[in-house]
Amino acid sequence: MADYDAIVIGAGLGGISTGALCAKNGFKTVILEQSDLIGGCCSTYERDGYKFDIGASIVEITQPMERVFELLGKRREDYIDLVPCDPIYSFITEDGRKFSYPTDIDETTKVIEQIAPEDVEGWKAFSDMGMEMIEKMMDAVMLSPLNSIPEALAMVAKNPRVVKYAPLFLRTHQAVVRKYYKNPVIQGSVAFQSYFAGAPPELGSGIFGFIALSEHLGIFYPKGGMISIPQGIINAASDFGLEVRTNTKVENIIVEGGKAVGVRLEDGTEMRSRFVVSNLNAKVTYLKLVRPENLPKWALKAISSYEVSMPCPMIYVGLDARPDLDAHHTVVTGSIDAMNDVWNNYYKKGVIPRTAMSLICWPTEADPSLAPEGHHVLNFLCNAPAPYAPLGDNWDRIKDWYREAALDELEKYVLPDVRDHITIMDVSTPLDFERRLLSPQGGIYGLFSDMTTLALFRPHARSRAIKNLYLTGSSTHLGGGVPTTLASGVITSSYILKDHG
Amino acid sequence: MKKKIRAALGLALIAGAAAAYFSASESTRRYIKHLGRQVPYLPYRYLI
Ligand SMILES: Cc1cc2nc3c(=O)[nH]c(=O)nc-3n(C[C@H](O)[C@H](O)[C@H](O)COP(=O)(O)OP(=O)(O)OC[C@H]3O[C@@H](n4cnc5c(N)ncnc54)[C@H](O)[C@@H]3O)c2cc1C
Repeated sequence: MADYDAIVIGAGLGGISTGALCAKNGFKTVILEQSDLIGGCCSTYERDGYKFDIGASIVEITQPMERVFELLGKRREDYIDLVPCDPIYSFITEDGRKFSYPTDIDETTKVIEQIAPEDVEGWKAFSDMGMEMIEKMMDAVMLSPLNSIPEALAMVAKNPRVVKYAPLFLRTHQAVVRKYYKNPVIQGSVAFQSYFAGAPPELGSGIFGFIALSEHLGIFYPKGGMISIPQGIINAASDFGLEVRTNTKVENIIVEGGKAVGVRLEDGTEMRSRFVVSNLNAKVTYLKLVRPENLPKWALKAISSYEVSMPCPMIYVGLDARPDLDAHHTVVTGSIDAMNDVWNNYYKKGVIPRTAMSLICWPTEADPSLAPEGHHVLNFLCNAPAPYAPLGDNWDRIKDWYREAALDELEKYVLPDVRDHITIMDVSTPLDFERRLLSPQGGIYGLFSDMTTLALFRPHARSRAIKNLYLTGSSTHLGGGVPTTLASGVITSSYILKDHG
Repeated sequence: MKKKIRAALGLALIAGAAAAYFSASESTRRYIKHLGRQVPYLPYRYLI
């Protein structure tokens, strides 16, 4: 006799959106989360009156979130208050130049005209083509199951115009950027987003070249911190009996006769269910929770072939002064070659990059309630990967050194006397991140993303290796990101409804 | 005769691919190598 219809492992955005939609569809559902907080990478912790976002700092492309609420039969505005952030970015170039991209496309044209008149035409072509593509691809690719050739063919039959955009999946991010822009500063300002998908511009899929454009549909910060997104979904699903248990670590998925029939917790408790949903990194799901002895050989070969996504150290700072910034996000950026160099000559060789490619998030600009009155919060991350295992060293030993190096950067770009204004500070190294979320090697986007690990080639939402096992979140199609993992909840729950409804 | 033409065509194709590879930028070569390492796994990845 099953205790639940659905057991969802992990309360990240994928787990919560899948769990909420399962509950809405009448399945008795529980979400089990090992940490004391919900939200995983999209979460917020509190310390001494300051609220720090653990990972994600913004949401763009809000359609998947709206779709989750629509399917729950609720109004998003009643649960999550989204504050628009404009400008999208303020940039600081290697040579100290500063400029910003406003949300408005025409206003951005004026900015580009000032820096690189030769790229205005490219920007117009990029935005015209890109906006049309984003509109066409939203439902077709982002919110539809795309786990098999028949599903892909059905999607194309329904939306024949998407074929036009297929080559973008096959091109690299840098090829798309270089097709439209000549000026290295402009190229850098639309290429660094390849690291938002976890790959350098020379390896990332060209489809992510359009992240730089989708941001012009608006970027938003949820009042109360990023945790307000998962919390809002849980609140909206509470009417349907969704149960969420924190501090509950799942040790194994119980497999009987090739079927997932429940989970075993860290304390040995067994819980039975009709089906199991995993929001964990797919390598962890299959290799640690299901375990190799329960997998067919082909599945073992498939799952072992994926690399986990890059890690990225973060610094959380509370300040008693206003930082000298003018946007929610400030990006210290470089050239495309510099971005590739960090990957090839630092990250892949186990060396911590000593290069200024940072993303400085200033959430108290959008929501002053995140800090005591007159104080501010900065979440500072190196927008380039840092190795999980730095050569000859260990992150626990070099944490203090790393903090000082990060403070030097903040001093340079944010406040010259920043050290005098810091009231509180935490450092999260790749090791800390791994300990907090049990994310292997501190990877921040599940699995590495490129054209060979997307769509049909990313672990499927409905497992073919283990019956009644479903996957959701950043290890599934379309990878890491707030909108993509919310979309994965829509997709995974649609399979579940088909199979068990 | 047909066999010879086929062999010549095959050789020309390989030579062309090699020439294209060696005249490509460092970055493109890294991309090609990366794809070369990943492609053999695609049939397995499709299944899982
Ligand atoms: C530093 C950083 C910055 C980012 N910035 C942005 C951004 O600005 N915008 C954006 O769109 N995206 C951003 N992202 C990406 C986005 O936050 C993530 O892709 C997304 O939130 C991941 O959701 P998920 O569903 O994959 O679950 P995850 O967030 O990976 O959550 C998985 C959950 O499972 C739990 N868990 C693990 N093991 C177990 C176990 N054995 N038993 C029970 N529970 C377990 C973990 O504790 C965790 O809560 C960022 C991510 C990071 C890390």
